[in-house]
Amino acid sequence: MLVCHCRRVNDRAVKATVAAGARTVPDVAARCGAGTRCGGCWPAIDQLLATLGAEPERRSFEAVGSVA
Amino acid sequence: MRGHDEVIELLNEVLTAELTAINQYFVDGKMFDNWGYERLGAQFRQESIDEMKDAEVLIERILYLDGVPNLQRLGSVLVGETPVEKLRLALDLEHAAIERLNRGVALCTAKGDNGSRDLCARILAGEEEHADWLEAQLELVRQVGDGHYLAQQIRS
Repeated sequence: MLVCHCRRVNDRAVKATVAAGARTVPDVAARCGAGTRCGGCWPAIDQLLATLGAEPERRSFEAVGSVA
Repeated sequence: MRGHDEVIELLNEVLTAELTAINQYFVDGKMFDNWGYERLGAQFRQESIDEMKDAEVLIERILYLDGVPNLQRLGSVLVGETPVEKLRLALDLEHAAIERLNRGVALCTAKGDNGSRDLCARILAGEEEHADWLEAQLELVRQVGDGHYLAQQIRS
C-alpha cells in the first residue's frame, strides 16, 4: 500500500523504519522521507505506528518540520 | 429546515468517507487500466462514480438541514500496489462504511430524523452490495489463485 503519495513510500518502507527504531511520525519522516511534502499521509503513518504498537503519546504530528 | 447538529456531523462524516472512496476507486480504476486489467478498471471506475452520486445526495441533504457540507476534509486514500491488495483495501473501506452507516441509521432514528435515516439506509444497501462483490472476488482469488483470477480480468 502506498502511504506517502508525494514521495512514493509504501507501508513496507514505513514498517522498516519502525523495525529500525522509529517511534514517531517525525522519526519515520526523517528515515524514509514519508510525510515530508504535503503532510496528507501523517494520519496514515500515525495509524501504522499505532498498529505496530508505538505509544500514542509519542506519535505526535508536531515537529515534522515545515511543509515544503 | 434546521437539522440536528449530531445528524449533520454524522452526514458530514459519511460524506468524508464518500469523497475519500471516490478518489481511491478512481485511481484504482486507472491503475487497473494501466496494468491491462480492463474488467477491474471499468468496475472500479463505475464504483467511483456511484460514490460520487452518494456524495451528491449527502451534500443536498446537509444543505437542506441548514448545515455546511464539508468538502475540504478527506480521509487516507489507501492505494494498493497489487490488484489483490486493492481488492482487500476496498473491502476494508466498505466494512468501515457499513459500520458508520449503521451507526447513522441508529442516530437518525434516535433523533427522529427519518429522512436522513432513509438516506443512510439507502446508501448502506449500496455499500453492502459492493462489499458482497468484493468478498466474492477475494473468495475467487482464494479458490482459483491470483493468476487464474487475474487472467479473467484482462478483457472488459
